[in-house]
Amino acid sequence: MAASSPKVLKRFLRRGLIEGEPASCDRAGPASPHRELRSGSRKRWEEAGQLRRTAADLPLRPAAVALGLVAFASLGLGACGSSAARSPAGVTAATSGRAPVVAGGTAYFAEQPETPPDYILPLVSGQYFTVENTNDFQTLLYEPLYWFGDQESTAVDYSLSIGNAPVYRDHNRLVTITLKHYVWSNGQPVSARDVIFWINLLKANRDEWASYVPGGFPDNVTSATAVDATTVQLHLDADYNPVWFTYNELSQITPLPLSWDRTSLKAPAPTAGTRDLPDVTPPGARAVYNFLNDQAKDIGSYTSSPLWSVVDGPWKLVGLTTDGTATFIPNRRFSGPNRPHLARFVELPYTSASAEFSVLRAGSALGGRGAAASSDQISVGYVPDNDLPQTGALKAQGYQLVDWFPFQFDYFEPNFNNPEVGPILRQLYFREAFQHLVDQQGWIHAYYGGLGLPTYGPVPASPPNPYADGKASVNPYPFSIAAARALLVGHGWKVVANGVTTCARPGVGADDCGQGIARGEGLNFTLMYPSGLVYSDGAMVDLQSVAKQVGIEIALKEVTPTTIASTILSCLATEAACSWQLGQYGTGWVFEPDHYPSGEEIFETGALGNVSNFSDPTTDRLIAATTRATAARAQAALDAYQDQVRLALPDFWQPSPGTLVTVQANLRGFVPNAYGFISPEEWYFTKA
Amino acid sequence: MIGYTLRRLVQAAVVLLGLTVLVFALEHMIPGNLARAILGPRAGPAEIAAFDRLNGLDRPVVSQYLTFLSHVLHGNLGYSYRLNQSVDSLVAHELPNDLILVGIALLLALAISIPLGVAQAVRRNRVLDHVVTGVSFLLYSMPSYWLGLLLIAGLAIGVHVFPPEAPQAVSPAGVLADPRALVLPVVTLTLVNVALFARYMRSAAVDTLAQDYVRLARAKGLPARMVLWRHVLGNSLVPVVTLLGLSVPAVLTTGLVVEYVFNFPGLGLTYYNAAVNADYPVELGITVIVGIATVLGSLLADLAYAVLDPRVRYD
Repeated sequence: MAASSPKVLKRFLRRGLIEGEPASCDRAGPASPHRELRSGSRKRWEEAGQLRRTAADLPLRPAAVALGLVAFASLGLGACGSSAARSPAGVTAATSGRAPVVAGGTAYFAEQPETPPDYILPLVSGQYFTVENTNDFQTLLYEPLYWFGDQESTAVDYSLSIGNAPVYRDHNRLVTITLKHYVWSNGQPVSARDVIFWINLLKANRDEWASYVPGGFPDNVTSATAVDATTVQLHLDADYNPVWFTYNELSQITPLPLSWDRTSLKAPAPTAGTRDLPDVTPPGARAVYNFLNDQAKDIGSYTSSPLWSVVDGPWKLVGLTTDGTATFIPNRRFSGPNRPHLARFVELPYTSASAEFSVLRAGSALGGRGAAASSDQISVGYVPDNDLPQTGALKAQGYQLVDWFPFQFDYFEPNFNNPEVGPILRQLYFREAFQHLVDQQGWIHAYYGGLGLPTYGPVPASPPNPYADGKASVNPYPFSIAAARALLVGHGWKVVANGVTTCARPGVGADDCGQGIARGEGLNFTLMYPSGLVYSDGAMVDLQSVAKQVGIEIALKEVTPTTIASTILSCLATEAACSWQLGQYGTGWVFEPDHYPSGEEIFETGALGNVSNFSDPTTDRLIAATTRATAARAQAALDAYQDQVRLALPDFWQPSPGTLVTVQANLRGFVPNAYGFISPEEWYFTKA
Repeated sequence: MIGYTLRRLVQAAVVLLGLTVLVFALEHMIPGNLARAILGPRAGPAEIAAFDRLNGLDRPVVSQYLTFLSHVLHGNLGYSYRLNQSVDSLVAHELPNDLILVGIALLLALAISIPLGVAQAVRRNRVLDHVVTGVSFLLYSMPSYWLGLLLIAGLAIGVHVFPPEAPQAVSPAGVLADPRALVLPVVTLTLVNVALFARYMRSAAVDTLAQDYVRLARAKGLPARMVLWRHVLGNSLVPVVTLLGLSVPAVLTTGLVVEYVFNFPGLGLTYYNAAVNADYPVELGITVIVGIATVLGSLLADLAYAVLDPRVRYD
């Protein structure tokens, strides 16, 4: 159980094909045959999904859909399946289908503006819990126990993970994890003790951990034991849903090398045989954490420190400037399946999205070795929202353009506890009316540059995933001013278009305004939203304009994202901090670092992420069922939960923004990760 | 002069103290919870308490201010909540590069605008004067952000003559070693400054040319070039020196725009981001640095008056 900070939520992700290259097989990278095959399967699934949507929009008959699928498979995917690729190490021109592979080369990756990687210890406090630290930096060096999101899949990928699939026994109260043979760069094996080391540090310093939720990990683990060198056993305090526990709890573990288990650099680096290590006692674990945390604050030492140079990931850090230029080379002792093909991987900092875009436009769409490798170019970058109209120019330059959406849903918040408008917001009919005023498709078209996915509930239909039920892609509250008006009129409101609608029939009857709403009370709201987001600005102004047509007055208040983060908080009606009425973060809820789309962190009564103060016993019961169900009942529980929340409107659903990623013309292997991680070890250049 | 300088330095210390009090107070008047802003809305009470404890935010504001002041007096400007670096290291890293960029631009602007302003004054209301005035107004009214983007679009994206970024080296030596990359940001800053300085220089030179001592010099038969060099130039520089003294904060303001557009990490942008992200230590630290620089700039400008104009005396 963990909380995701809004800092991780704005991420340039989007699902989709590389434009202009609809059936390219080499996108999946040449890493391994199994990946090629899995990618083919995934693509087939996606296209099937697209056809399903087409069938919903147009009255296609099932037979036609099936025919389309067969035709597509025979034309495109059959070819993909037959071009099983090999690693560039054994260079083969057949891999890309067009151009020969170039071994080595340097790929340059554009960091988001002013967010350089600045924290290396993979046990992160909220202060440093950013995409740039966790997803783009730490995971390149230190492999998590389980790897998620690869090749756009929402599932755990055991083939890329240190841990084998966990085994749940004793009514799911005993978890046994066995480890594969991975080694640290200092030659020591990655062992069960390394997993326990991380858990010990966490247990003693849980308040320092960004993802800590009381009652969640590690509170729900009564004991953790290294049974032998490769086996960890966790005893749990209850019978949790195994899928939930794997995806939301085990997902967060990163084995740490025992050579870090000390309290000073002068102390000898422990090994597997060292006895009485300090982390086994809480005071010792606190001292170790304090030492490591202090060391992690010395950015200048990252490349020279005897601590951080011990890695088990595919990359080694060889340079990090204070500005944020991070340079990696392959870890020659990496023992996982995806060895890097590039000779170097460099993350480049930018002061603004505008500066990044200038480099894209002025730079070359061809990368690789020698003269082609230059920091004046960006191998994998992004198109700023403001510059989406210039997509054509980038295409003309030769860039591949990839839509990247994370596994997320987006929303803006009502404050159910606000003393003034809380009683109105607590009426379901009102929330339904308000949701009818959100023109998601119109917003995507007009303000998101087409780069958005509608949100209809707490489990998104895209990227394709096994969790969303059949209703996830159907809007229960389609844009309709008339429907909004009818709901208000039907509940005793005197609707005054372009004026202020007022309550004409107070009371608690089915057709009355509702509890706590007085006669003559008007529909006036203040909505805070963050500055600097083009799509957010346009969408909120549109909402204001549309709402006016049914007499709902919305005063827009544009503030900095920091003000949003420090103001839109859960509160009691009696607190001064409860004065906010409607708020938008500008970013959605990404299922990272918790990958299972259950709602215990956002919609459960009192949850840390439940800033709208939503409280509904039915929802609480259904959420509890998702975390405690047996594996066989897990999906049924998740379906019941998502169907309830979709209609209960604890938040107002709005489109999820994505990002348009630019990839150099001759770079292959880049495929979005569903949770926002990057895997440059899968990338490689071909000859131009 | 020494007494005057000492008095000004004492005044400067008082001004700086007041500045820090003001900024510190304003920061703490911002609504909302700082720890929440830094840690995110889903941070739990324990994590917030730990953050407050670690950063001394659980203590009274006055106590926090006194701690900050004590640290500053010991040369410690604080530690960034967000950047995981000390403010001293940020300043040490970014200020030299800023000084290079803004310094080159200022020198170039002076080298161009001073003779240009004098030439305009000498050829007042003639074609040169009208053309330069028109161009100056155009440049001065053009936001430097826009000017920078135009230069990038034309010279970096259009014809690939210069890179779109300022030098990306970390050290000042590295920055100077990449002169091609310096061209566009320096030109952007220079053009804006030329427009400003040339206007001031022209006005001052026009006034000086009308002075009796200039007429006397001409009447004595002194060559025109000598008149301009000896009598007009020095006396016309006083307003420009004032401008120069007040240009010190431009390291933050003008630099910010160039840093933003040309991907040149500097104090201006760091300060802006600190303000937006509630990174108080960075905000306060840079305020102190810029406050010192501004006060010193103003003092140096005052002292320069005495050098340029013998009638000015400080007792």
